[in-house]
Amino acid sequence: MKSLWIACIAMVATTGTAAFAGGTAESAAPESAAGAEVAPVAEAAWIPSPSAITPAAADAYAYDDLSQHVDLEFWSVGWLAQPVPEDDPISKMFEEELNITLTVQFLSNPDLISKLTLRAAADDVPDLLFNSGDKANVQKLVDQGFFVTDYDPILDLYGPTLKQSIGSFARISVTRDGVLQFIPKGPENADDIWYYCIRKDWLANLGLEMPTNDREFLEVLKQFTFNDPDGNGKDDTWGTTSNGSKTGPGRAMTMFAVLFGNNTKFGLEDGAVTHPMVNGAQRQMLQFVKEIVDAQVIDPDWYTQDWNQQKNNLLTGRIGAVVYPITALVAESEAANGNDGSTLDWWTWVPLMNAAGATGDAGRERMWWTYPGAYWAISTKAGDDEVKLKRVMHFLDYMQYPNRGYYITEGGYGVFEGYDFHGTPGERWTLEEGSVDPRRENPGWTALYDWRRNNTVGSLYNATPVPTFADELAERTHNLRQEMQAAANADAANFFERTDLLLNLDPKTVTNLKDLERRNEILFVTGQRSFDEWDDYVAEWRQGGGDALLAEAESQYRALGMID
Amino acid sequence: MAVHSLGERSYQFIAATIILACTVVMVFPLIWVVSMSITSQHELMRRGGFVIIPHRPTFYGYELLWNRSSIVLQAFLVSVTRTLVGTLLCLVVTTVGAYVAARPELPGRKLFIVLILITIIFPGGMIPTFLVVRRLGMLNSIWALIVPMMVNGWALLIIKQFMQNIPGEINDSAFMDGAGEWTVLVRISVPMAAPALAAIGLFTAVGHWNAWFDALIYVDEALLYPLQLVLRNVINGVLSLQSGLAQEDLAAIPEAVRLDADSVKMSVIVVTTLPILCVYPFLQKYFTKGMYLGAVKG
Repeated sequence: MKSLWIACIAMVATTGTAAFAGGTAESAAPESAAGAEVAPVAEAAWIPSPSAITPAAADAYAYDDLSQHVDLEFWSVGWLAQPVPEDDPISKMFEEELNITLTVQFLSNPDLISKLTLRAAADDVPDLLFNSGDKANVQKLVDQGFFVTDYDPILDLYGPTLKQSIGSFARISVTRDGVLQFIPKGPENADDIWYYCIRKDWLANLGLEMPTNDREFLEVLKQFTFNDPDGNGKDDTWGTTSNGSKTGPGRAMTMFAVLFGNNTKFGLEDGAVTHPMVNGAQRQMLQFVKEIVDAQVIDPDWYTQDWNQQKNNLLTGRIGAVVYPITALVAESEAANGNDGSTLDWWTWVPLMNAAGATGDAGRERMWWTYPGAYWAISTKAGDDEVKLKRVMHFLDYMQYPNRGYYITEGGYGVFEGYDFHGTPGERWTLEEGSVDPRRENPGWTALYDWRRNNTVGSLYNATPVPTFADELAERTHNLRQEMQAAANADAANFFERTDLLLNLDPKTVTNLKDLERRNEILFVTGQRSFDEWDDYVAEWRQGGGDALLAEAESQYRALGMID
Repeated sequence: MAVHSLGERSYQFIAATIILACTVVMVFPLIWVVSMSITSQHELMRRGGFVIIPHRPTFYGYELLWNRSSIVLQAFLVSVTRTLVGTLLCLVVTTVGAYVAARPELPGRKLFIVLILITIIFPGGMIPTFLVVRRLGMLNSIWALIVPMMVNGWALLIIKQFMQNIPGEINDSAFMDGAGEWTVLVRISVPMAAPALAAIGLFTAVGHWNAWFDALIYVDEALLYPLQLVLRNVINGVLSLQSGLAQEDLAAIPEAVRLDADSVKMSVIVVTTLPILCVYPFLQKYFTKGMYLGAVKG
């Protein structure tokens, strides 16, 4: 009986602990980490040019004499989000140069938030956090005092390079009540541009000119569909394609809205909130899509297929034009056709189009590679520890362009054995002859992609060294893509500003409106609803939340100081 | 030799046809998964996105896993360890608890059962459990993957019910012969509850084998990642690579263009389900029995 009691007590203890265990995290006081006076913030560019950023001076980090060893825990949202290899040379370099023991984790955003929430419950958040999304959840932790707020004094004292790279766009994205809630990472120029891509070999085969407006574009689509542009004697080609996924016209079709005006939903234009539903661009886009569908110049599966399914015809040479990230299209076409160079003469971009007779900025949309709103946060515990705060800022600032740490985190340059480079900051760098790209040779290369996200201008066109190519074909592909991207970047200034990315609109109303739009767009395109009813539809949209969101957007822009 | 009537033969034919159709329906997804795992992205596109017999099979998905073989092997060992040790400990602790709860003379027996029930109805939740694991100093150790799953309230009640149905006279005669509680538990109750224990053990083992989220939140050290978490990372990494193929890196990583997320995913499915498929036929009868246990004796 005695043993029965012992077992009984053990069980009660085990189950009781598991069932009722709990605890409260002791919130650290949300004090400002640095007691220095707040320096006035200089008027910053909207997005600073990399050429305007100077490297940290020789004595820029004199505030941190590196005499004391520091343990630094750093969590970052990752793109590949793989565990950091034990022998990761980048971590080792930082550890040696900055006298730190670095514990790094690269996690996907949902994983990062799950772990962070748990660690906050245990009052043990990492010293430094980087995230590029889901600000709301981390902001809650800031409000509860787990992370430092008001970074201006810290940046003034310890962030010489970061200060230069923070433009007003980035600043606005993390400011609340005039106070920097995080250290913002500036938005980057896109690596890739969503563009109208067209088969240049088909244009040549049929003796067609490059279209310059919507009417000419539609005519080209008809020729591509009905005049056997590939000359194989089969009726197996279509002018264009899309990925409706049974929900609407699809990304490739809705992009046509930019032909007719600013397609940015709840964006800013001439100091007022705009939306394609109220500025007419949406109606004209749907009418144009209807014309395309009625003319039967689009892949018949355009409405049912998803993004990947549309590639079956697109990448096997049956589609003549598409809206696609242009350099991805070149690479994917090659990959889908055996990487033998047979598709390198397929694609070119359509120079920016307008609707026939229209002028202005229509025909342009830029895809941000990194959205504004990416940020770093420093734990309150690290902020309260002067030595650690200095080291964290030293580490972070050193990683930014054009400091040495930038080039190391950008591509492992200089730390992977047998891989070196030379060049001048701000210009295109060149690999030393005989260098081997670590991404090809080193199994630890996956961590590079996630380190890279932590430097400010990681994917800028002219800041990346030329890679060593595997063969002539790879070099040719690379050059073609660079050429296309350079042309796209040349027009970058003309793209609509994606100010909508700064907004935080009521998600429920946004979802409801999306549903309303999805249900109706396909009805208009297929003719089940007449465009005579368009005004009724706009009224439904306004009553269904459109007006509320327009007002909410205006209010937020006003609070951000973007509307007078 | 028995001569079957036309009706009998018709019945046999129809039954065989239906069973064959059901078999095809069951087996077809497995065949498709294996086919997809050895089909290249190129061929998939050329053939309209659906392939059963690839013309030019590629084993790149498996190569990818093999290239990470040291990580995968380490993760496999972690998974095997947590599955074996976790299942064994779960069975031991749960059986002892069930034995105690099944004894009518236990003081406060009803309260004990209510406490168990409370853990089923109101689970501790992620944050409190994390705090307990942390307070016990088990973070970043394999015990964080084993101890929280050591007692399963539902399994405990099932086994308790099973033990209660063992005639009391058997235990009484053992006590009269001088047996102690542990002897009765080990020599009488456990053997007689073997089918229930096998079923519970199998469920627990499958749970351990498939678990990855607990490792994500309790373990920072990649060497302690179980197989499922490592493979999840591989799939996510390939998906990310595919989404970013347009970048500068493509020229530097020529092999990246061969990556196809679907074929890697299918290779991962084959690798992860193979051990379970090998074990399952031998334990299938216990699985079935386990399903009935809760239904008729709960």
